Amino acid sequence: MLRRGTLVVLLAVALVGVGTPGWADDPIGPIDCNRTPNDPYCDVLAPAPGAPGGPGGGGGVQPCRGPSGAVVACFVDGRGWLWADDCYYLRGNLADPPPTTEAGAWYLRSCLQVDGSIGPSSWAWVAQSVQARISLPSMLGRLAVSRLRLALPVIRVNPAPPTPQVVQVPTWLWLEAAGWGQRSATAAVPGLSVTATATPVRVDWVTGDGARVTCAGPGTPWREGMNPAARPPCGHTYTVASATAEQPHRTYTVQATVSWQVRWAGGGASGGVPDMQTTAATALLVVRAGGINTTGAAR
Amino acid sequence: MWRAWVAAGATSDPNHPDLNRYASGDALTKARLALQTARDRGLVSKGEPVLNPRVDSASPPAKPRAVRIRDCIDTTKWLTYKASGELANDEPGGRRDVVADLRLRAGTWKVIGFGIAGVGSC
Repeated sequence: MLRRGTLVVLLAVALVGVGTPGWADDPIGPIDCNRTPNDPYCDVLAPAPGAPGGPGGGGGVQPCRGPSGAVVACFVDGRGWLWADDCYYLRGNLADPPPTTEAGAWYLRSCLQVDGSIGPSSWAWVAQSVQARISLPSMLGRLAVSRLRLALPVIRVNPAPPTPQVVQVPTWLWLEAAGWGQRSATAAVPGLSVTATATPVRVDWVTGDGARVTCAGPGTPWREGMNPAARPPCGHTYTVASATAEQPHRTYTVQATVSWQVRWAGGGASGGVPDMQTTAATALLVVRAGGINTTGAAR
Repeated sequence: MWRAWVAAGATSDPNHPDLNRYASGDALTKARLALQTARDRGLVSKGEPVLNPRVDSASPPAKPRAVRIRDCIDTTKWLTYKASGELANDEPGGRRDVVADLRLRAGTWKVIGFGIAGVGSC
């Protein structure tokens, strides 16, 4: 029943069997983005009409589909998980030497037939570079990451605009606490669920006068009764006014960029992806001491 | 790379030597996967895609060593056939949005990665 083949399968494209039923009969076949929505290259491209959602779109559990478009099991006992080429893969222990110099592992490969049945199994060598990417948890991890909805930062400043900032007086900078916290999202197929979490780790402030300030947290809100001249846990002291005699309303643009550390875990595996960023900006009027009275903007 | 893929498709040969010359890494793996899948089904391809490439970005701009290409390929005359010579089925091809990354290595441009969107995407 089991043939020992020397077929070298070089799978590149992760797929959770998500796809529109059927495919055009040009040679693109299994690498069509409709069938590999988790491929980062596919995020660049527009979804075709009728494709399931856009990049990172969709929700819920997508069924796995076979070559004829019919819904099939994503996992079959003794056959393993269904991959992009309509074959099930199950890691096996074959002592045969690998057919290539590339490190990898033997997998039992059983392909769906056009009538929906599963054909005979054969051994296939799956390169290590490919294994990690095609492993189901890592595919679901990427999908879960794409479903993360990160809060946009909301900038707060003391003195609170429209009161202007004053040169040589500390400007307190912080973000609203509601947007600062761990976010998570999940992707699942029957029998396996992977959760991605994003944790805010840092705020990079661009203060508009050429300075940059990095704060490890959201900063501390200034409260009534605090000394406004005290050095804030997160803030900046302007030395040059934004307003000039010619342009009394000129402002600095203050930008806050939150970096999120993103990890996914599930199915006995875990991994990370590059940090994600959210950003917001606001305009700040900075005046010279005494300028408060001349602008008339003081309380 | 398309020419190599077209040539390899005549026999659905995932190890066609031309593939190596024009593609590496992810791109080579993907092309081979498509060819291997066709071979497993006993299919070959005939014809060729109509290309319409444009440079999306290049770096460094003055003397690029990395280029991203966008294309809208037309596959209506690049289809898969059974060994008997008849079309594999009556699903037509069509226009597909394509992105491809090329790198200059040892004086040769190679496709290192690409993505191909579904029919009707451009």
